[in-house]
Amino acid sequence: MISILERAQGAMAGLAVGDALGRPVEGMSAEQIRNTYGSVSNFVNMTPSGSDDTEYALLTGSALLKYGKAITSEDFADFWLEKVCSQTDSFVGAGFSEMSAIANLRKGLRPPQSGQHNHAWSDGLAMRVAPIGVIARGNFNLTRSITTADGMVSHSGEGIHSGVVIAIAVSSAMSGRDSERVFRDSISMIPVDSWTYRSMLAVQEIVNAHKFKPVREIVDCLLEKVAVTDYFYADLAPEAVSLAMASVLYGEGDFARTLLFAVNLGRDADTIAAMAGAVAGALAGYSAIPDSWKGAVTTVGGTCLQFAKGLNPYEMAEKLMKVAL
Amino acid sequence: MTVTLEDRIAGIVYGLAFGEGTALPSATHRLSILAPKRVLRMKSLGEFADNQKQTTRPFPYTHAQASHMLDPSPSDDTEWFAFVADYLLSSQDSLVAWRHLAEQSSDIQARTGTKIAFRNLLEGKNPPASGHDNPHYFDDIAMIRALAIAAVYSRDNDLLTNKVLADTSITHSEDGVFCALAVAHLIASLLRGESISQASEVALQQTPKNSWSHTVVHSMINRSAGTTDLLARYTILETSEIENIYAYPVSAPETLGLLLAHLRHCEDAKELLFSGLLHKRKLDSLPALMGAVAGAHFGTSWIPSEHKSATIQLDGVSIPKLKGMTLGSLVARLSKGI
Repeated sequence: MISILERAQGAMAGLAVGDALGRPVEGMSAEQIRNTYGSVSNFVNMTPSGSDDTEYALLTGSALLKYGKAITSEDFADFWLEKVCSQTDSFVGAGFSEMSAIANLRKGLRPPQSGQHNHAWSDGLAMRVAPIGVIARGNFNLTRSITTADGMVSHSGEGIHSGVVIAIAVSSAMSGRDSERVFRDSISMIPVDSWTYRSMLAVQEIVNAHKFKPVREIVDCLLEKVAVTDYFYADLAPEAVSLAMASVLYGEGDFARTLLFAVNLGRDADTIAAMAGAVAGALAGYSAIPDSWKGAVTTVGGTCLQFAKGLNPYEMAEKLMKVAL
Repeated sequence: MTVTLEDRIAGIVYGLAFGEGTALPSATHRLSILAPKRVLRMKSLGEFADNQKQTTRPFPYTHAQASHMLDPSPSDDTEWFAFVADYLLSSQDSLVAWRHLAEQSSDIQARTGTKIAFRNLLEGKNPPASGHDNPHYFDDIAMIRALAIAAVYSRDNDLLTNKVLADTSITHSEDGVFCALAVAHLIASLLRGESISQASEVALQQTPKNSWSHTVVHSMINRSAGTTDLLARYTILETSEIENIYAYPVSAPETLGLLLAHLRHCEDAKELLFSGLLHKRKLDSLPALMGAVAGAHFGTSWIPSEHKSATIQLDGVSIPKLKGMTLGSLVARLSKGI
């Protein structure tokens, strides 16, 4: 029996592990990963470290600690103004969506206007919402409303739908459901007529139809279907989130199997693996994370977001559980 | 001064082509019709300059080919206008025309968003998904296409709206569509002989309250409201309103905002075109749009005679099959319908 606390720790630690595992191959294609590493089966860097994914998740977590479950979009915006927009140094490794939102907030725009810009569909919200799934566990309406409140600060449209998918997946996994049910739950709270929904259906069909085929075949099939390779950047939420959830479906609750599938997809690999890691961690619990990977669950350095310096994903999980009560 | 409807229609076509030709991107896009080696050489010359820390960077050049190929000429924007005008005047269904074009997409040089829409169409997606499932659903090229739709359907507002929706939702969504609607209704109003302020009002009504485009457009108009001087207005808009964060400056809300912010203050066609040429990140479509809007309002009198010759041809820069189509034939066909 996996305790709720262990699931929360698994979600937050899993996110950090995925972020660190994926970081060295971010931006590579699955083909390039094969040519360079064969397949990624462990940390390819000696000192695993996370990036903006973990730091932004800690930002959302910290906002929840301050305002609790009744947090509004205005609260999130105030928190960003205080903790993020005040940063004067550059945001190393930040996404376009976060930088545009910061610029909008600094201009005086408030949500939803602060989240309207040319990268509003990015995976930047989805990568930071695991803490919402943790505190709102099992309550999908609450999970969606807090995710939307957070998302409106920096995203709109597909960026928010995709954020809802990951938050609901964590929320569902936190309540003890299996990976297949988690996948179905994750799309139950977004519009059917959306890019995110279409991509999710596509990956579901592929993973289910090819379950017993070689991984390589499934990976190529998934990328062919949902990766927007005629666009330079790979941070499109409908793409990254559906690939992360395909990994969850493929992994069947096994943490290492989920993460290794995710990280070998390439593209926005750190974010894909961070999202898959959060869901798989909530499914399997903290103890299911291989011991050799737990070193990645450490106090973060604030490389992108200085505010996050000194925060720890594992400790965040425990604090979030207190808000959840 | 009364401008005839025929002259306004001609003004849209020649103003568009002239406006487009004045700005650098049209020359860059025209590299596609020069020797293929030219594109590679431009890349290596750029790399050479970077490596040597030299600020002399390559500019589109003709070398052994005819020098007039890089003279101010209609380029991709005018071709997208012509593609839409052509299928509308041939009474072809929007989706049929676009699907047909998508089949030839490997030969077509187009914006990222248009290319992704082609792929969506080829994979069997229909509008609105074909335009929605697209990172550049807000690309300002749909505003250029909307000029053509307005030139054909200026007399019936509802029909115009439907035709713009039918065309733009194939490749665009949300604000990409709103901004195209705004341009279409702006032009239709000018073609009816209404004033610039009336036409601007009609355009503004096309951006839904609380939408991205509504925010951007109103912010630009409000911030530049007190400026009667072009350069003062340019400075405010360029430094406080145009964003420099993203790699591709194609956002339609910004383009529409600049168009409407300048339009309400401009005294004549020249000032309008110059205002578009000042914003360096927006040169791909803004000067072309400014030229077309100036043409719809002021007619063709302001355009140098070399640039309103009926024999000016499209070169197939973006859409190879349009090579050889003359601006004169476009004007004649558009005028016949009115």
